[in-house]
Amino acid sequence: MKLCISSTKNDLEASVDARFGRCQYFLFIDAETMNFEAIENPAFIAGGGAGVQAAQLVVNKKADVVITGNVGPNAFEALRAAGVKIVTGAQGSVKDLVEKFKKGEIEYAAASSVETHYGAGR
Amino acid sequence: MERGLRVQAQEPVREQGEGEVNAEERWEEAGQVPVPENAFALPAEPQGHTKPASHVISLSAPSAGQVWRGSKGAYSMVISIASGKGGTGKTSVAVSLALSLETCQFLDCDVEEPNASLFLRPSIDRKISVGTLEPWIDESKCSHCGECSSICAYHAIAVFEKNVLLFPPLCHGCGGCILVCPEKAIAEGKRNIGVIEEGASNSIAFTQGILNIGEHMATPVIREMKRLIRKDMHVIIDSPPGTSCPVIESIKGSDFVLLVTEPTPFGLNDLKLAVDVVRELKIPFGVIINCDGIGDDRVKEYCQEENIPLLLSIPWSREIAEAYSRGIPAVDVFPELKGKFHSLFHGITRIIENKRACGVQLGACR
Repeated sequence: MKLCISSTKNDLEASVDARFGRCQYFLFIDAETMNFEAIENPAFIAGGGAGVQAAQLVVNKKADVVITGNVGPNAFEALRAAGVKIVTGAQGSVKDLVEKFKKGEIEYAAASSVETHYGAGR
Repeated sequence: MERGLRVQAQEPVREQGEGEVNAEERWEEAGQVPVPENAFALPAEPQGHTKPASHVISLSAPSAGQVWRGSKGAYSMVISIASGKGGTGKTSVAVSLALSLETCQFLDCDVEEPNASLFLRPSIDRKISVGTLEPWIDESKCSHCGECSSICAYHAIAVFEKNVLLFPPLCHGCGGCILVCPEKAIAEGKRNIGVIEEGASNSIAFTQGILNIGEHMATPVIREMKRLIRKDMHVIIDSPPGTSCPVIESIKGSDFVLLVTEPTPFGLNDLKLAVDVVRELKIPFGVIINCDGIGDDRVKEYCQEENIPLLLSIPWSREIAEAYSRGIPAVDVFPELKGKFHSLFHGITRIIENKRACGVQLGACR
């Protein structure tokens, strides 16, 4: 199972980034082995379309689940269309979230949690 | 009583000695505070040009009600009203200027929230819908190669293993996806994004653009509006605020840009941004300070330092604000303002004539 967690830094100790499309890093983590790959989000300061761009990246990286703070409507629609499961409202460190996921202490989101341009800093 | 406006005469200074700027004219009413002796020089003209006396800019004083018809051989002008900061009084100035001319065409290019009609109350007799290119994807032909997604600068298309998703609100209609699709699975569709309304308000030909709610691309609507610009009368363009694409689209090709600002740090900051844009577009421009008296003198100092003509100062006035809130243009409440706007117009005319005499090409938008 491959997880994608939006992160404020490029390591497992970092705390989750509350924004999906405009997070600082995506950590792609193998839940079994805890091997991970950190990718700097190219859409961190994008004007628009950050969510779709991020969703495309997540799908291209073949992640099964996205764990993040908030997801906008475009990213949500794209991830759902690609069959990626989404967890919103995540808090704490990336490592703890992986543990929670493994214990099944998470709930999948049924809808986007914020409007477009949520993380755009305006 | 302290609501008199001041028009400061502008005169380009070219030759030293002769060049002391003199405020030739001002609109003083009895009991009004004297106008400070500061006028500003225009940016320097090309060197070596000798200015004919007739092109010295002066703001002569037509009495209120008198209409400025331009000097001999004058041509009709396109004047854009813009600002960096929003809420500085673009529409108020644009409407007042339009009402002060005998006849003109008024274009409300603030298509995201056009409001000049609240003041001009035009009758609308023609509506034109505006569309933009939108890709139509035939999924049965799609091989999910992802070429369209990777070329899209606006991330309007996502391509997954089994499906392709278009996000119309993100699409800018460039058509790049159609060009790169190796399967020819994308066709050129069209999406309606807004409407242009044409009508009249007394002797003012009125045109406004309205962008559909939820659409983000104002420029196609503005572009279509500007194709309706008339050649037989002066044109006043009410631009959106800011310095982004819709502003550029609105003001480009104008003969003159009036930048309306307020004398506050916000007003000054955004004025500077707007000045950068107008300079880049090489359009002559001047500044109007609205709500003068609420802030400080830094806008005036900036204009002086930068040789930017400060064409009009409108003092802060509760009466003007109250009239505004009822949809009444300031010139209807204070008819004496019309004289100041005539004078403003006259000043702009002289600046433009001066530029044209120096061989500067203006008014490309028609």
